[in-house]
Amino acid sequence: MEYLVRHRTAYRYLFDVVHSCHVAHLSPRDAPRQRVLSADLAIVPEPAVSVRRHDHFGNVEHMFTIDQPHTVCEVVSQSRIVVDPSTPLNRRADVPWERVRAVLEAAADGDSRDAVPYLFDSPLIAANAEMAAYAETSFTPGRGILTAAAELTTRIHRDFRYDTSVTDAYTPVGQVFRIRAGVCQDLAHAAIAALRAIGLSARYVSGYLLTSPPPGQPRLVGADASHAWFSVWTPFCGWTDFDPTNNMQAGEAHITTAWGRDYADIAPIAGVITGGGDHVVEVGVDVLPATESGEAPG
Amino acid sequence: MTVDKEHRSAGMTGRCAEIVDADGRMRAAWKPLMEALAKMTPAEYARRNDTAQTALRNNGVTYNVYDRREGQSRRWRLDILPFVVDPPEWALIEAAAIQRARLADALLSDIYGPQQLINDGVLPPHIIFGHPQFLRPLVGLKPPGGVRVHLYSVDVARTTDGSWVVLSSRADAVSGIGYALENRIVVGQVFPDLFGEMRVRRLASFFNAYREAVRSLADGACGRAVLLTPGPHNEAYFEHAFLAHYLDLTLVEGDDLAVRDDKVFLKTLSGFEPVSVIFRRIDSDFCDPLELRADSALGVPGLTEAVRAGNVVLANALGGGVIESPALDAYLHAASRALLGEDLLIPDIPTVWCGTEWGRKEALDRLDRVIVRGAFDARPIFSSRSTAKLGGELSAEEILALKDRLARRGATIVTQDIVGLGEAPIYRDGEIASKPVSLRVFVAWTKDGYRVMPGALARVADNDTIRSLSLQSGALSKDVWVPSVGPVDRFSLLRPPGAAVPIQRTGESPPSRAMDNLFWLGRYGERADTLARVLRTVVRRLGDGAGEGADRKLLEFFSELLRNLPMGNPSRSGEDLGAALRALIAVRGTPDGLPQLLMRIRQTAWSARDRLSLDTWQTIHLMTEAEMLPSPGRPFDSAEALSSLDRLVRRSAAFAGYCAENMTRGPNWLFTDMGRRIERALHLTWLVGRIAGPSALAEPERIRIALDVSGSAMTYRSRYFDALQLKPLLDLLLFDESNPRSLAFQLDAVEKMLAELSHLTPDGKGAPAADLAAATRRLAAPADFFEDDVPVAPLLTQYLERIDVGICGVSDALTDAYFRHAVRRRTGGDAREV
Repeated sequence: MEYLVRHRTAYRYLFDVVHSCHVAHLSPRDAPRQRVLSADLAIVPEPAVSVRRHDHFGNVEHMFTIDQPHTVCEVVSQSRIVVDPSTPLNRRADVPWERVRAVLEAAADGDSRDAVPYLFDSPLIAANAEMAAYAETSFTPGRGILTAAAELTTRIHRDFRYDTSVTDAYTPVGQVFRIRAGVCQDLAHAAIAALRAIGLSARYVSGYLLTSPPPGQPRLVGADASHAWFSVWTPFCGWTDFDPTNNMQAGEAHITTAWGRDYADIAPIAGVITGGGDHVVEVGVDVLPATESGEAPG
Repeated sequence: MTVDKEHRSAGMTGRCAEIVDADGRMRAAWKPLMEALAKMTPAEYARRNDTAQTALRNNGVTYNVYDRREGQSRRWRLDILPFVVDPPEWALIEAAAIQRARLADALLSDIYGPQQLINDGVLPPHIIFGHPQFLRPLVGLKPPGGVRVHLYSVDVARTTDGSWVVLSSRADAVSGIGYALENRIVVGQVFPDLFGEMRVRRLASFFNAYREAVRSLADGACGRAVLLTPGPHNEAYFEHAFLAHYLDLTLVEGDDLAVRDDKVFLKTLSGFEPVSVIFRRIDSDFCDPLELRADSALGVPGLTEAVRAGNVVLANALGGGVIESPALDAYLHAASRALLGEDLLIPDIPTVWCGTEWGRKEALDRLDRVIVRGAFDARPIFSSRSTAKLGGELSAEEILALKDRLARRGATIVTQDIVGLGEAPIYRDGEIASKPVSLRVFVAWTKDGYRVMPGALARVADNDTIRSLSLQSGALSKDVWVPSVGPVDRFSLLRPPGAAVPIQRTGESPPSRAMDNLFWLGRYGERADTLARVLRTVVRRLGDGAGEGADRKLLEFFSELLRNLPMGNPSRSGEDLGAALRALIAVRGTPDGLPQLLMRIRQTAWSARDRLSLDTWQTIHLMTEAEMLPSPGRPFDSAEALSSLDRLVRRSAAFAGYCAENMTRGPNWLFTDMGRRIERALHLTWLVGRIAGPSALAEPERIRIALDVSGSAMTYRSRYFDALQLKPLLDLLLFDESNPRSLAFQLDAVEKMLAELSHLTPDGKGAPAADLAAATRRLAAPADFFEDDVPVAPLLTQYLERIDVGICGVSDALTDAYFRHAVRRRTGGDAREV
């Protein structure tokens, strides 16, 4: 399916910001089931310096500096992407999870070595024994890793309350486990923490959902802003994405922007400003099927 | 002192004391020291020790401890008995330390470059990719000159079998070298003869070679060299201030620096100045909130990009923390073989990484002989937040948890053998005892390759358990003496040899933040002085009988006075006078009470430590030490309070005197003194307002109080004898330019200093403050608010209010022009994913 995505972030400051510097992960990357046809980032006011590069995880990263006084900063990312449907869970890949752990420990080939960074604690995710115990309810001895991951996704969806008022962008996963609540980012973090706690590789994926569902289908949670889910690694088919917020395997409706160890690696936009006083931020995301409209949404 | 006998009684032979070799003979290098000690009486030794401890205390040598909120800085602990290393032993340590530094540099080049060791299977990817200090934005980044490790430290110790072993190493923000230098200065002073006689190798040329080599990497760029510290709250801040001074670097915090167009600048009084070399004491991950740790408030946004652009040299280069890893210790020998083609000269503590089946089995089989710790936990073993545990001390429950964790995430755990450490003699309570010792050896990159500091920081455990070896948990330190085999190198950084130095009247433009601190040092100093004088006046008049027998009107006047202090409004209404006095003099929590003010003085002085002479620092230290004030625990005793306040006023005068007589009339002095003058001017308008305002207390009585508080009693009597009247009082306190405690005097001084300041900063940014000061001075000219020699209350009030507004305006304008760094904040936390 082909999509048009428009992601607008606007900062409004009380006073002049004399200098600002931001790093953005707003342009979608290529992925196994996804091709980016075009991607464009517009920044107002005009940055003095703007660099587009790939970060260590292969994501598209923009770094820009604005050195003229401003009270408004607007960043608009527009892109055109094709996403293929996901294949049903591959039985061949659904190997006993302990075997996957052993492969990751040996890290004997390039593929498993590339999954090693996602085994360990990261800025917002410190796994502990409680999380391991949570995971082991689904990861019983000898069980297939994908079957167990799908069940873990369902349990997190059931056990963690979706609540936009209890966490912020940098809430560590330990707290999410304590309060058993949060938004998509927190639910993804919780699943990743549980998987890493038992020695499996799991990564954080940020992206988008279709804003309005096809007729007859329910609107998914998280469609108004950027969305997030997690991915688990298996030896034969690489990464498989699950969305605990919507209790589903990520498929054709999920557009990937970037992946990393957790939110802190790939925040859509983060920066440091000098001056400015208080600020408010507005975020708007529109995702439309390209077949509905040939034009970028306004 | 009978050294030899005591050794035996301390049982040193069985534990491979450092003094004796395997055959029980005293090592040659120790002989002169031990013979000299044997001739020294205990009293003589104690005298030298006292001299050393006093020097440390007066120099403010501290090691801060993060965990203790209260009284956070602790005195540095030094045992003056030097630790001597035989030249042949030293040759081995030296060669091994240099080998380690080369290996560290080569490892980092590989890890942040081609990652050949991982691809070839020499290193498991887990111990690099899993390390929180593996900083991904640095991959592929080549630092200027290709050097990554400019300063390196390695902790070595002798094991009980007499061989040496490496305990840990540092390649990121290396600490301890400043303390080693301070130890050397102090110990060299208390054993001058012995120091010369034993031909102890000097340290200065090592520091010089290090500094010059790093500076040369800037490749002709004209910016200045700075030392970047996390700030006064860091445990090793003393060392940062001390080293900055010694190496002639500007001490800066992250906020003092800014990156523009991928270049680094220092915010100084006269604007942005380019920086080309940063001696870095902030851990790598905290150095750049934009690309590294977003939650770092210590770093400089954009620093990584400036390094990438090749515009600044960081020493050490970013990223060194990834090799400060217990897990890596298990593979260092293999890495050395692969990268250098060499066997390690001194091995690491036997270490097992539990990321393999074999490792886990080994760990569990030998649990009672090992320390279990986090694979990436580089904190000193058994320091406050260390994960290290003694395998043998684990409970059954903990062993179960360990087994679970080994099975689930073995790669996050290592075990390290418990090794018995050789012991060094220490002096305690008149006796020589023997305690486990380790040496921190420092290696610097110089133009001739890596070079070892011929000396070290020895650390001695306080008791015999291995827990006490961590620096943070309070081990003793020692100077390390390496006798010279050739002629002694007498190079000194303190007195550059030969070449005449061009005459300079000013230094480089100082960082704005440092001036901000000095301004507030002046203000807080004066604030404490006034408060002490007010309280002294009250206590003196009341004696013990605050309440009984004393004049009711006087009591009321004092209560009102304390309720309306210029420094805040600390005493609550309704509180009786005794309680208010006690709160202000002795209770630590009272807002703007004396204990709190003294603490603030100390903190601001500490933040500006590198800008204060040793003498000035010492007077501040004397003025603010905790013993200055009566203990809050005891009941209030007015005689005790009075003597405390007297002493405080005297010491505060000593501090003011030091500033006046010993500070060069540069920016440091200008800002300190301006703070003092502005504060004093505000206190004078307050005092005049309280004295001349309506009160039931007789006028002569109030005038006497005013003269006491303002310290002008002598002058007044010499002019007017016993005629206590308002008009002459106000003339003396407000208009008399010759009285250093008059308003006119303060305003004249401020006006003059602002004029000088505008010469230092020709861009005109000081103009608003100068204009306001001149206007305020004009307002303060002898004004006519008298009618028949009696001040008209509304006119006087209006006059004082206008002056107050003027003075506060000057202070604000000064802050605006020189200190107001627009605050940096992070954004993006509100754009989360839902």
